[in-house]
Amino acid sequence: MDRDDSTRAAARPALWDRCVPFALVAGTLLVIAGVVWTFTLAPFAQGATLSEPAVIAGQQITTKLLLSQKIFYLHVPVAVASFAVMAFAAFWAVRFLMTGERRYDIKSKTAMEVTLVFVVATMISGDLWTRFEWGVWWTWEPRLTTYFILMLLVIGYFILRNAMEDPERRARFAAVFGIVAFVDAPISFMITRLVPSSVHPVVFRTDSGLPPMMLIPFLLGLFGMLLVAFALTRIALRVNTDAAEVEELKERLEEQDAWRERAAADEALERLRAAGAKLSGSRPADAPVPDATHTPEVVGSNPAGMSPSHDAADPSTSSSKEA
Amino acid sequence: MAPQPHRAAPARPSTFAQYRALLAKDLRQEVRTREMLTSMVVYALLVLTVYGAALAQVGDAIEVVAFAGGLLWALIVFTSLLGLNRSFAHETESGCLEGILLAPVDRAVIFLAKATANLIFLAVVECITVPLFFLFFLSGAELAATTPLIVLPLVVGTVGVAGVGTLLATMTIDTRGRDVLLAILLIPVIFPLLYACVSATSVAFMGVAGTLGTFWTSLAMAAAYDVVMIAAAWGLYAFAVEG
Amino acid sequence: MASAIRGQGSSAATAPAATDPSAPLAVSARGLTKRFGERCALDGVDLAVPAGAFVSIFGPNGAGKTTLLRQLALLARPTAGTLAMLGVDALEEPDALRPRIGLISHRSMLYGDLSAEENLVFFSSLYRGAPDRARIDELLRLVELDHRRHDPVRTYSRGMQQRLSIARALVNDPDLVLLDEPYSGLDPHAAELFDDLIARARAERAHRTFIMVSHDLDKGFALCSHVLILARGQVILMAEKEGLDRDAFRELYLATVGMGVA
Repeated sequence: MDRDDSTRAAARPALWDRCVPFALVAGTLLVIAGVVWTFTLAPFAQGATLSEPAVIAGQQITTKLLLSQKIFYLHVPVAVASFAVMAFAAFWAVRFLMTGERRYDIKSKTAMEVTLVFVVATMISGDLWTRFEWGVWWTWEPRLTTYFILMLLVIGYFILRNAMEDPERRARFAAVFGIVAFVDAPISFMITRLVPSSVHPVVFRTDSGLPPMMLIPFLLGLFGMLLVAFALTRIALRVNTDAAEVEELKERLEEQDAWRERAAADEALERLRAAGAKLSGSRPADAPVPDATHTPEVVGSNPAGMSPSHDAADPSTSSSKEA
Repeated sequence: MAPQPHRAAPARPSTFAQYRALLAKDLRQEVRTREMLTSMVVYALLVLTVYGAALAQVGDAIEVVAFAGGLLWALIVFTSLLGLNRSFAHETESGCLEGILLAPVDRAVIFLAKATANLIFLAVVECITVPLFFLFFLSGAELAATTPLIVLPLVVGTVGVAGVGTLLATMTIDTRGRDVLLAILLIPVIFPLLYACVSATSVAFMGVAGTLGTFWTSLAMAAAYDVVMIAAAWGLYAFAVEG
Repeated sequence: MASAIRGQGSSAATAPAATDPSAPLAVSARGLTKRFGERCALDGVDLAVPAGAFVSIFGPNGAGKTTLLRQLALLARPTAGTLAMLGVDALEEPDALRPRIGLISHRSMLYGDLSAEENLVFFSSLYRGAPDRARIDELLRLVELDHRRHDPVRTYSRGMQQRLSIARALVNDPDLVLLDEPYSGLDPHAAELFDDLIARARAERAHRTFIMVSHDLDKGFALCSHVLILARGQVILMAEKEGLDRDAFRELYLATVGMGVA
């Protein structure tokens, strides 16, 4: 039986990882290009009450309104990216519940971490937009509210993880809540928009109506942000997987100590056998005589062969292979 | 391999009988002690008292009608949190939940029975506290003719809270900081439902002509929430309840 | 690897019921593994428990004893390996097996506010739909709690609760009874009563198998027909008690304590 390398499998160097630096650089460049274009070349637009941005050729209304609309080019991509990453978190959560393999839990948690980062960025950019556009720092309008709830859900995810001690239960419950949160988010989005409110007018922004000069920087920003999200996820995954591996190496070291104790137990077992006990399920009589420097290779109730790193770490076990 | 020769295999118990046994157990426990209902009602009274302090400066009862919907639902959410936490205390105390899991019971049936019990408890508490709310804050207010319609969002909302709350409470009972954790998880998840129900309830309270369309839209949204989230809770419950 | 033990006549000290060679194995596990990532609670456990045996499981902390018992109680599924109990594949048809298994734990699994009778009625209903009243009466008499059947369980002493817990575990007339440190919290008198009831439970049904996890070496050894030592998720020893040199066994047990989780 092999040692489970499910954890390591979570971040096996793959094609994806080689893309990461490229994606990060490309993504950042695209986002910057989008932002620069926004502030220099993209035409100006009017304020919030319209459902379609209108081009006002060469005429400034107020600087505030103009600036506020520019944030849109950054805010929406961040928001979309956060939701995209959360979708992956939910997907991996489902895979975890289906298979019980730890690597999916690591992936799901990592995706949630990245989601948190992007959601916070969405909140900040959204808040700035609201400040510039409506002059207030906060209002319970659908967009901000939905993202606030999403942020609370993701924070709740981590608080739940923190409150659980047993790793398997923690992974399972986190997966359940991750799925619940992911199902809840679009419902939240829709309900806050569709439930008519007398106080807050719903602002519908139809992106498809953007003329090319505005559409292109938007798309640049969107695509760039998705690349950044992907890159961040892979990097975070590597960090998390390495941390998990360190944990597991510690476990193996502990087990090495236990194996040394085992020699004493084996001697006692031999004495029992000699006294005529009827055994089953323990080491067979023809196993090598245990000695203090020798970690015995045991057939049957133990995993067939210890993992390679045992042998590498402990030179005395190499003699067991000859037995 | 042949089964034990000296006994016939036991018959499969009926799912409904198991559901009934689980539900009866929860109801019987509560009737016996009345502990949970009492604490929920007392807690609701305390919340109403706090409201009293909060609204002391609002002179005209008619102005309260404008946000009565919101106040009422806040009351329901807080009371529900208490009730959900209490309802699971019995299961963890002596490891009873494991006793149930040992039996050949479909985990979804456990969910349904628990959720039904929670729903019944919440409904009973609401029957007491909603009239109290009217007494304390809406006496003398001219209530719109549509006010009785609030029963509908109350029902739909309570069903949602009971369903989703049962799933989340099952996960949080055995953790550190269990009560707070349930609130941290439940309130964001329940937010869309809350939003829709407050909207519907407010419209019913205000009774402004021509807004009834909003009422039905909000109610439909809340119902849609219930369907989706309870289906999700149902499907996920087996994972939340297994040790 | 391990051959099933051929049932021998048991000594009077162990069980009135002999192991039954013709019945399928009460538990037949191969390569049972429970792991999460690298953390391995059970590491390739092989077990062959004949019907009618009383197995005492010993081992240091973190050995996986409770994990193993929970696997046998079908409260958790293994990551790898096969498990067949009473002739049925436990992983394929757990619900067919559940009515034939009972668990007595150090937690009573009883509702404090309900009476003894109501508790038993409840659990009986879960197994059978309609509660088996005759069986409940029989059990209350067996555990000598008939006179307190209408009192709420929270008024019971710890010893009485454990006795009622036996009744609860037997309500579905199981072929396999699992015990997880049942003596914890019991004073010597209560423990003696408990022993007595376990003996009655063994006598009640022929070839009823018992598997117990206990930290009490003497008690576990006295009651059992087979011993099992686990350490770090692996089987160190599985043997019939008959013919086992007690002192050598004790030495082995003490040696394995060193393999416990620090």
